[in-house]
Amino acid sequence: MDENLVEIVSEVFGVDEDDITLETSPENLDSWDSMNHLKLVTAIEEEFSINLSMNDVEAIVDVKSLSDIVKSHVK
Amino acid sequence: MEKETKRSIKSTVDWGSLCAILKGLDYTELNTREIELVSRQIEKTRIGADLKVAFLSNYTIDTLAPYLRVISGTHGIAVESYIAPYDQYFQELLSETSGTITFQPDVIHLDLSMKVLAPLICEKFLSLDDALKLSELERIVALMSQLANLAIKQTNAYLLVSNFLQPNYPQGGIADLKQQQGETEWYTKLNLALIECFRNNNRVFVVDKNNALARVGKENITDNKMLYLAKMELNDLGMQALAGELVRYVIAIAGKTKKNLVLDLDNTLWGGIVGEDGVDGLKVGKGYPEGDIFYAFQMYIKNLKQRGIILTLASKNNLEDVEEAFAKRAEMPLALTDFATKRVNWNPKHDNLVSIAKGLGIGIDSFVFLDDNPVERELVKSTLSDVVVPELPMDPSGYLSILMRSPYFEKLFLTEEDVNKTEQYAENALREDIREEIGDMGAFLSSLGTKMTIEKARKENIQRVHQLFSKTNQFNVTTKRYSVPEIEHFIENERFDLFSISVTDNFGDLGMVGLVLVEMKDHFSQIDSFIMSCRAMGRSIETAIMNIVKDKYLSSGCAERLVAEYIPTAKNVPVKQFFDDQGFSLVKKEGVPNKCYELKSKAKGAGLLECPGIEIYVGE
Repeated sequence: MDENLVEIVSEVFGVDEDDITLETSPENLDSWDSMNHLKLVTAIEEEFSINLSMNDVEAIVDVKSLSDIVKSHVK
Repeated sequence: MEKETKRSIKSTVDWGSLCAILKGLDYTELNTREIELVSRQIEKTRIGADLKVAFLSNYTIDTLAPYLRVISGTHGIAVESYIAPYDQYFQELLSETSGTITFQPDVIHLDLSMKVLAPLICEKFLSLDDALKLSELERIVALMSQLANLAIKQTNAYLLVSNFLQPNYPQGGIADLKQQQGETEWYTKLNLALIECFRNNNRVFVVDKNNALARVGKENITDNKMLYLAKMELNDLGMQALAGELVRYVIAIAGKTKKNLVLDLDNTLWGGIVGEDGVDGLKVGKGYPEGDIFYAFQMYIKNLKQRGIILTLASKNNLEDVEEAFAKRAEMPLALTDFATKRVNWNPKHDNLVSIAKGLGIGIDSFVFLDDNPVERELVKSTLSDVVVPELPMDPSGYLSILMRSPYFEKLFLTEEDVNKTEQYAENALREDIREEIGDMGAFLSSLGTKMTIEKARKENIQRVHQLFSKTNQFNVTTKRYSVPEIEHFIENERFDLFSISVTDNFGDLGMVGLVLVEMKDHFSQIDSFIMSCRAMGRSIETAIMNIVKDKYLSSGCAERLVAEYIPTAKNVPVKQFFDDQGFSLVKKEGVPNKCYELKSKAKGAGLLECPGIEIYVGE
């Protein structure tokens, strides 16, 4: 997994990088609430200089899908 | 943000060391994750809060809180925040048990979006008739006024009310400005009505959100995706700009406004070096590019003086050259008399800053130092960490923006006192000179011709009273900071006597310089606060005041016992012995750092003390 991505996720949600896996999601991480979800999107857009669509934003359901979406944009 | 900075922020464990790192940060350069990181670290390390801020809104405003927390942190102010549930502002102010009311905020920020408040206006302005437009405007102003009254009644907080964003593009296009009751006109009138509605309210302040966001560009402050997904009307840039405006109020409310601007001369206030280029070679004055730059910069500084900021000089030069420059280059907006005191010599600047602080009798933590020379700036920063030292760009045309953007000099009100402040401090410096000349203290005091008036504080002076409570550090026995509503309470409630003391002398009017707050209890009277501005110190005014206090509260009919307290702080050392000197007896209390005193009417110390050379007027 992209190290940079892990760092962003950990900073936005305020958890250790070691606790982030591909399966990390709003279901198993308390601080992944709707507000922090939007902050995550903004942070990702800033970091990778990309623009996520509204569909992308709604398709992010865990770190795995986040990583896939970022990859599809960064290419 | 540098990796190194990030690491050191993450590893801080206490508020003090975090503040030291934050002080050097430019918040406009932080991205979303860095704001989150810093904000979280502030929450982790702060002990208590300097200010508790509640946010009330009808759009998603959650991301404003971290911005305000971080920007306040760069000014050493710890902010705790509460975000009211979306669109619940009315209920939150109405219900005694709401989150806002139980949070007991010091500040409430009310920020409403027109989209939710008046959809008709936002969607169909062109088809509304004039009567409806007017009634909508009146409805909104009435609502804001009602909310303000609720906030005042239910809390002790200051209320900050955002004004409304003018739409980027009116529905009628450019022809809107030709319309009767056009959209542009409607918003202008509404924002004007808010100013008028709250102008005379000491607890409600309009925040010019429309202007603050225009500064960063109103086309850049909304992320449409976030707007539709989450009703988030402002993106990070918008929130940053709004928080940057709010922090101006936070600084003023927290009493962190700087008092003194210390200025360098060569290549700071004028172009060139007077010792090398000569008086005629200096670039300042209207009509040519380099002259215009320094003219505009000086003009702005002159206006800061009007705001009550004390100007002082610290310049490495020969004094004669500097005097000649000010005398001959009369086209400069600043005159030598605009500076309360000057240190024109070859001493290190930090020594001069310390000497200025001593001369003016104000703390060095209320200084801002402007110098074009990066070496001088670094030296002052490293030796006097409490002084604010803004970075100036190499190109002098950028100086003015740096000064205009800085929020250090913000005040909630401008008072008469402010406009005359430099004169008052300059008069003080003059009095100091005469003291040196005369030598004999008694002769010096009577040469001043001091006239003191003591009277009950009145509501029309409440702004100055509040200033004295919030800003006096040295001659302040308890350093209790009271808000405007608390002061109003003291004035109205019969259990309290709040006296204000004003002084004039042969050299000028010192204005209101002191306060005494006495609380009448069942069996004694308690001196809650005894405050004097440092510019009135050293002429026994405090003794004259205490004589009056003794006379009033130890006479028959009153409780016949006065109780007082000295609460030590880093700054109030000058009054450590104050009550001892005034004849009070120390009451031993084990394990308390505060010193408690009492004075009984029959005690020897209850006698009046001499205070030569002061004429006293006791008002109602």
